[in-house]
Amino acid sequence: MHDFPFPAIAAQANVSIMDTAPHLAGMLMVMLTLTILWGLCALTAKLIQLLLPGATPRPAQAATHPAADRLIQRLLPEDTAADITPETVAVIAAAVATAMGPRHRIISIKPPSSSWEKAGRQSVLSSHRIR
Amino acid sequence: MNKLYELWMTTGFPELQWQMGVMWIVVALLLYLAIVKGFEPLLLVPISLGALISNLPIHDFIQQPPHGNEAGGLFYYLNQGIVLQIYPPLIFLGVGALVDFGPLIANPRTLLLGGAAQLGIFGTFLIAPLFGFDLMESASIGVIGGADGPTSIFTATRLAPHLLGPIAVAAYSYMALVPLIQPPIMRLLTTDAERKIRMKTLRKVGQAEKLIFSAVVMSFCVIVVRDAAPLITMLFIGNLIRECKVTDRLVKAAQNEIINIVTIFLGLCVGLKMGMGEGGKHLFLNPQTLGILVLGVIAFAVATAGGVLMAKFMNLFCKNKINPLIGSAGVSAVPMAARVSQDVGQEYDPNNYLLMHAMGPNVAGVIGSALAAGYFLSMLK
Repeated sequence: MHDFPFPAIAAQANVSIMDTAPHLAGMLMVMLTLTILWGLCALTAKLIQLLLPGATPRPAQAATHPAADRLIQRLLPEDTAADITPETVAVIAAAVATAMGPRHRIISIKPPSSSWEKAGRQSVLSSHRIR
Repeated sequence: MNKLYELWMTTGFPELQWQMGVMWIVVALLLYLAIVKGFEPLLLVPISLGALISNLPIHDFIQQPPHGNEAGGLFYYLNQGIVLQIYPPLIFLGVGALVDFGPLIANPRTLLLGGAAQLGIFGTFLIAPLFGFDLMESASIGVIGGADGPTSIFTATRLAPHLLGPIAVAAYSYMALVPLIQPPIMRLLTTDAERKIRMKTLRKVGQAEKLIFSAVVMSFCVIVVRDAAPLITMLFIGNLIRECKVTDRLVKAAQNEIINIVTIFLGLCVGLKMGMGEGGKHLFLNPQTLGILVLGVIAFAVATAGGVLMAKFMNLFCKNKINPLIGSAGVSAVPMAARVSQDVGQEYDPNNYLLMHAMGPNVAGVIGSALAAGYFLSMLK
């Protein structure tokens, strides 16, 4: 019946591709279901914005100050500058000054890494015994 | 002399068979892969040990059903978790408690990538009869392409219980090999420029939205595919107790104790399916196992290609481009497939962080493979 590629067991087959092909409808069903879920997700997001405006976290509004903005532009890569607020830069500067003294300059700031990296870093740090 | 003979006959030595010896070598290989190479050790170690037990001449002592007032063997009772389909949904409870649907909710179009990766399931199902498998066996083997161990076991238990051992081993082995199987396919199907596409930062998703998402998706999916209800409901119950933020102890139990205990029992019981079957036929050492292993790798490859190609197709219409590398994460090996997208992406642009973007199709793949399994169960059982 089928001689590719396992003739011994293929001889036992009672079905052919013609029997399985109609079940590709299942693939359509999966895609259709997930497409509808996409629509439901988008709809839910819109409804939540309308009905529960406080429930959707919005990015914090950065305090605008020309000097702070210039500093951020200089310290951060272009594509991430919008995510870091002047307050964050101030906190980092204060932490550096406290830990290392006033005669240090921040050369660059890298934005927070992904939660996976954070988890990995946390794991490494927690593996050290602190006495 | 008679006493010595009787004593000899009470031992297991007379019942040793050559297949058992071969399986000891297979067990040693699986343990090597798990312990030395680190391939899915949490599953391959219990599966290997179960396989070892099932290939010792002690079947009557550990697996026999209860008889009259006599209790059955321990593994008979543990095996009921598979027979009654309790273990896979419990694993899904833990997965739901571990998974954050935020990236998927923030970028719901990635649902389509998770759907396209199910091409591996249906493509393999299509060609499996060429290898001599019937419809139900073909469906069970195809689900390996979902890269979802519990779903593979859940489907095989219902449709092809005699193939459960090789299917589970293939599913988990190939899941461990995702970092080797996927990258060549991803590179083959994408251009240099596509691999460097930087995607827009995902918005933050609030608690209310996550809760509504879980409830809506669970309800909708189980209405569409009722046979997948045990998996899908447990997945989203796990996620709902996680996102409601007031059941911390339950979440920790689902994420740790429950999933770990079930993993031990599930692994052992799957390993037990790799021993001698009825009629003296070995359940693992047969030509069908070779066919399943070949079809399994085809399923993974097609699933990976399906996700990547869908992302490229969507880029023809979408203003915000999708990096096609995240399409491969549509196979639901969570989070390994997403990590592969991240790693391959960073080879071409070290500052491109694709991990959270890839988590969208990754968790969509979990839903997609459960839907595909549900379809087969509805149509073929």
